[in-house]
Amino acid sequence: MSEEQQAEGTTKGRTIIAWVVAPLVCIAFFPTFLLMVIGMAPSIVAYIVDVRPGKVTARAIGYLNFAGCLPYAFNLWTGKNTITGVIELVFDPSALMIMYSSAAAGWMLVFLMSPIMSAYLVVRHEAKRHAIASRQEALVKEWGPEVRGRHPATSSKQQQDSVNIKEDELIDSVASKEREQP
Amino acid sequence: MALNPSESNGGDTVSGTVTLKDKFNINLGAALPSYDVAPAVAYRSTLVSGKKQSLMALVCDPQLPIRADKIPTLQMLDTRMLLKPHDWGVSDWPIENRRCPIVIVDRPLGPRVMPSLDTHISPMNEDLITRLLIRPAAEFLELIGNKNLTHRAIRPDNIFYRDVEQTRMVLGDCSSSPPAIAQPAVFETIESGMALPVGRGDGSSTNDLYSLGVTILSLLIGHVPMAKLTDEQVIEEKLTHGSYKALVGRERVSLTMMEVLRGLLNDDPKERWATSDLVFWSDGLRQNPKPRLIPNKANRPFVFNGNAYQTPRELANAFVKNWDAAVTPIKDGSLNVWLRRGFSDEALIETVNDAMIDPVVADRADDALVARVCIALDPDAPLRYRKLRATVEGLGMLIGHYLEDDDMRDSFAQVMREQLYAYWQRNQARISEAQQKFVADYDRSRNNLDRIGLGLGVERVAYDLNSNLPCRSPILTNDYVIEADQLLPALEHLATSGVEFSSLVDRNMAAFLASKMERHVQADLRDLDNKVDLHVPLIASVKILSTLQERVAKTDFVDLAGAVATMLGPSVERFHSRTVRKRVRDGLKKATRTGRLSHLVGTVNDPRNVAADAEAFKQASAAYAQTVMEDQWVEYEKTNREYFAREKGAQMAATVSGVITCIASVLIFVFMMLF
Repeated sequence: MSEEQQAEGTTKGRTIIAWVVAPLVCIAFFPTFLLMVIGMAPSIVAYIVDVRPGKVTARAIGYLNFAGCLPYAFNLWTGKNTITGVIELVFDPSALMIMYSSAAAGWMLVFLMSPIMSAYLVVRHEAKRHAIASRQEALVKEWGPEVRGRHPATSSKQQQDSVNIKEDELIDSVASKEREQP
Repeated sequence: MALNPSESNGGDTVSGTVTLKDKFNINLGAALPSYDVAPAVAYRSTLVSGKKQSLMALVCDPQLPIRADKIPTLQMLDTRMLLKPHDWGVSDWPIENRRCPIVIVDRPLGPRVMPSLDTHISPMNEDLITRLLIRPAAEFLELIGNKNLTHRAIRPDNIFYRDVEQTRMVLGDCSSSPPAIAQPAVFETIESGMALPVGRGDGSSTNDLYSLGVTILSLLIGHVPMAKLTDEQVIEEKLTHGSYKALVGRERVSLTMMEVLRGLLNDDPKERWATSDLVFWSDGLRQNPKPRLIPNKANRPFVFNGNAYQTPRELANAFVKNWDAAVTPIKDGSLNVWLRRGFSDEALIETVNDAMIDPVVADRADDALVARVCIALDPDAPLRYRKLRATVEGLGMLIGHYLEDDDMRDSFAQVMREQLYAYWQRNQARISEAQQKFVADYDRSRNNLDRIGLGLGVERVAYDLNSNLPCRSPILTNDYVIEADQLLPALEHLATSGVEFSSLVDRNMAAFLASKMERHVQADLRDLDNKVDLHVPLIASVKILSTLQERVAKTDFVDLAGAVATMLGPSVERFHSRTVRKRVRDGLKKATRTGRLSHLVGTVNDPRNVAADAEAFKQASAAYAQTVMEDQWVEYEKTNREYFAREKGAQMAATVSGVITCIASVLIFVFMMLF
């Protein structure tokens, strides 16, 4: 059996377990499930509207939203773990506010990260270009301009470096000839 | 090139001493014009050791090959009838501003027997000639004949008195120039006289005996016979009347001397006196030489170019002198008709017809046709093809001399392609072993003639056929190299004097080396022709020289190594890595100091080094291409920074969010458990 066939079999197995186990879990822990559905409604909406691959925005909101719901889930497990208990919690404005605020914090994090990342990228690009230029310079110094092949010198600095290398070689050869002469 | 006969150079008197092989001093201010042996000029020479010996140095024409291979045998001869060569070598010759070959020979104490060929002297007494010249010369010629040597320079101005009292005669030098090159046609047999001076070849003792006969006659009558005639006129006279009649003519010669002259001047080599006959004659045993055979004359003459000819031999000679006009009578059949009507010699007619109709090559060129007909009409004559005229022994020497003459090269190539030497051989009633060997040599050399490439072609044939031919390379234009072991010292000499080489092994030098040591340099000679990679020919030429150094010279040549290292400079650029280049340059400097050319080659042409550098360069090129791609990606990211900031920001937010959730979950769990 090939690896592809093995992987396909594993995925199939997991799907079957999910469709069988998940409803069972939902039925067994229905109050908790209900609390999570109500408390993580912003995350569910974000998941639906997020078009990015990997649903990264929805994940950012969902993780924090979950953290906001977790204390109330604990309360439910340690208190009245019934639908009534869930309704009491849902009708507590502060609980709902905390759960939804945590989702909002996730949103905020997504909005804040973009400019921070932009600034970071500026710095990173500069550093990377520097590193690339140094590597190219080292290669040209060791192997000469012909190492570029079809690629032209990418910066004026490199062009100047090539000229300098040739001049250095010329000076070396002249100096060695002079040394040879008595 | 004619050597300067005096000691002057541009009006300035040259003085000083040249030392040859650390054994002989040659006084530049002591020219001995009375002992010159054309084309060599004589200078006084002494031994470095200070030992008294009467010597002179013959400074030879560097454009001509000397008979170096004969010198060792001549040295060993036990005779007092020759100015024996003691040694030879190549030395700087300030008078010519170049290096010249110099032969050290005995210096006679007396003068020349005849000061020059155009002077008249008192006729010499027959007894004196017999005692001083004929008897010793006969013994001498017998001696050298036994060693397969010939003198080929016997003439009155090359005979000296050995002592001041003039009681002994001695033959002058015969090793300082090619055989018979300075002999006027009058002293040569008809066949040898027809050939160009450089194409006469070594010949045999019969040639020397003929020259001796003319020399005896000259001394008897006090002048050279037919001295006022040109060489061509001399040949014509000899052809018309026969040598004896043409030379002796109406001169008064005693019956005794007539006998020896008839014997020596017989035009038929088979009937000509041998050395033994001469010895018998000098012992008093009188012989009756056979009279000259009267040439077969036609009933009516053949008129060609306004002149009438009665013998095939005369007609052949006329054809040679009017080459282009000779085609018509051959092709229109008039020659055939004349031969049929004029002679009853069926064999001759058959031979000439065979020359005209060749079953192998139907459409033969006119020149080849004339050459073959001339051989058929006069089989004893030399090979003749337009301006080329050489005996079968002298053909190789001739091309060696005319190597730079395009017309002569073409004629020579045609002679070889048409195998005229083989046709000449087929037409001989008898042929000597030496001549057979020459024909076999030409057959072997013919394979290389039309092959292109360095080390082949006419040059190769010339060096193969002339062991004494100096290398004609323009690099060695001021030197004289006839053996492979002399080449590197000559190049070292040039390097020491600061000459910059533009190439190391040119066409001539390649042919010279291929001829001397083909087996060792064949592979590298092929690389010399590489036109794709310019470094390959240069490295191949250094490899050839290094082979020469390892196998023949076995000495270090530091200056040459320095010059070669400079030439190899551009070959270092074959390596891409600057580090490797520096290492190789340093290696070259080290190798230069050793003076071994093989070290230079090893440094610049290590195959592992070259392959490793090429592989590393490939990897470096790939690495550079990778950096270019990375750079392009950075540029792309820079251009679309907002998009990437949003995407990466969202990913970062998810990650941060996940971390915070994990920490918060643990804290919540702990708090709920505790409280």
